[in-house]
This record gives sequence, C-alpha cells and structure tokens, in this order.
Amino acid sequence: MKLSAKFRLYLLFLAVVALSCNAEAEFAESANLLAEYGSNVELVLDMQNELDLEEAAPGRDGLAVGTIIIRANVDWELQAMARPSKMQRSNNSVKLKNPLRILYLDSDLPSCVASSRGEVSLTGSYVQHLRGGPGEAVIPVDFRQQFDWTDVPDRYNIKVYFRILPL
Amino acid sequence: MIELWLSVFVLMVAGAQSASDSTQIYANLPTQIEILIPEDLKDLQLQNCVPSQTASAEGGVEVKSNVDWSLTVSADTASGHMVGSTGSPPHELRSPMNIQSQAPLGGPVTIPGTDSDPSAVSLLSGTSPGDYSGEDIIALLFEQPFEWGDYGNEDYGLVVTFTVGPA
Repeated sequence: MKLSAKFRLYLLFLAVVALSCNAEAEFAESANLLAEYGSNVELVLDMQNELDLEEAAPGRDGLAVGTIIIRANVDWELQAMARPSKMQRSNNSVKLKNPLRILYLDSDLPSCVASSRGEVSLTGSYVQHLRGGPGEAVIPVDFRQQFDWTDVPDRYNIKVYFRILPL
Repeated sequence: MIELWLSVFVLMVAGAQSASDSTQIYANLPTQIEILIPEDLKDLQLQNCVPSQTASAEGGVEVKSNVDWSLTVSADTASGHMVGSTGSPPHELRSPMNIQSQAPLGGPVTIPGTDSDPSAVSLLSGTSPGDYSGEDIIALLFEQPFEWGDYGNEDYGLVVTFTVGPA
C-alpha cells in the first residue's frame, strides 16, 4: 500500500514537471483592426475675395496672385469658370477683348490637363484645369489679363469659380 | 481474580501508546500563462477616419500569469501599416498604427511589420503575476493617423498579434 502511494506521488511529480516545461512557451492572440476611410476633398482659395489686377495697361498683362490649396484623399480634378465669361465694365455689359487667364505656377504641379504650359483661359463654363492624386497640393496661381488697345478705359470685373471633383 | 484484573489494566496502558510515520508532500507549481482576446474585441472598427485626424479603437486583452510576464505586439503586413482592399498594388496607409495599454500602463509604441527589425515590440514587460481578465482586462487603445495622401473610399485592415511570455 505504501509503495503504491509513493508511486502515485512520483507520477504526479512527473506530470507537474511536464506541465512546467510546456508553460515556458509563448502564447499569442490576434485582433483584426478595420477602418472604413471615405473620400474627402477640400478646396481653399488662399487669397482675398476681391483681387485688383496690377499693372493694367494696353498691350500688357494685368496681374494678380493667389494660392489654391487642394487636399484630397482620392484622385481629383480642378475645374474653373468665369462669370461673365470675360471681364466686363461695371456699368454696362461691354467686355474686354481677351479672356482672363490662370497660370498655375507650381513645378510639382499635378498634371495640368488644360494646357501644357500650365496656363488656361477662363470661359463661361466649367473646364478641366488640373488633375491630381491624394495629398495636399499648394498651388500658387497668377491671374493674368491682357489688355488690348481697343479696350475702353474703365473699371472691369469678373467672378471666377473653382470646383474640385473626386474622380 | 485480583491478578487477572491487574493484567487487564496493563494491557490498556500499552494500547494508549501512539505510533507515527510521515509522508512528504511535494508540489511543483508550474509556470502558467494564458492570453485571450474576448470575441467582442477581436474585430475592431476604427472610428473617425478622416484626413488629418487620428482614428482610434478601444480593445482589450486578457492575461493570466503566475510569473512576471511580458506582452509584445506585431502586425501581419510587411510594413505594419494598414492595407487597403483595392488598388494594384494595394494601397497602404502612410502612417503606422500606434498602441498603448491603459492599466497596466504601457506604450504608446508603433506596431512593427513583418519586415521590421525587430518584428515585434514590447508593450508591457516585467508585469507582476495576476489575473488580468474580466473587469481587470488590459484596456488597449489603437490609434491610426490618416493623411490626405491616404487613398479614400477604401476599407483598410490589419491583424495585430499579441504574444505573452515569461518576463
């Protein structure tokens, strides 16, 4: 009877030692992290609401500068238009001969689809100007207006609209 | 008759003597470590996934250990970054995911990927033995920054593995 009890204790000791050895191993568990990331686009016109073209004179370009900031996490397209289609005298509907142009100056510019030179003439309807991908694009722009000798001296104005579309 | 009575008395005294022996009991308590992520915390959805902000999710892991223990974390992608469901090659978030534990306090640490060296980082180390389950579950906070350069309109995912072992 005594021998049997000792034998049982011996077996128990062996089992405990075996468990102890197994417990030295590492154990792992995993969690799945999921994120639904929607599309977002932002357009900021970093310029005054009213721009005065400087150096306006016949045969020359009047100039105003500004910055367009585009933030997007999808491919995007920038479109612009002008109303009226050309700069117009304040007190009547007489327009300048030439359209207002926008020159996109950033050398790291997203692809300019409207012009290989990065210069686009505004029209009365939305036209594609730029395309780009996810990220933040800070784009300096020049607004240029060529004045013709036939343009009547007066105060002219125009409103330029920009919009960004996710592609 | 009298002698007989005395004889009986002597026998009773002899019967009151004690005898003893002993058995030595040994116990070898094995090292025991367990880890478990509750089912409701295995699939975590990051909240507030918008550009220029940090999305987060709260998780938890249960550990039971009777020795000092350490907890490491690793991710299943090469870079450790969340990977999108579309794109060829699949789009990957620009920023890594960070994790921290609330109690016991650990981190924040950046979750490494399979190509990282080391491919797992310690979130908790030398933590005291105990039962960190149920109400004492180790609360985790996953944080994922989103940038404008991360492609939107996508579902991103990452499997994070927790490994526990003796410290």
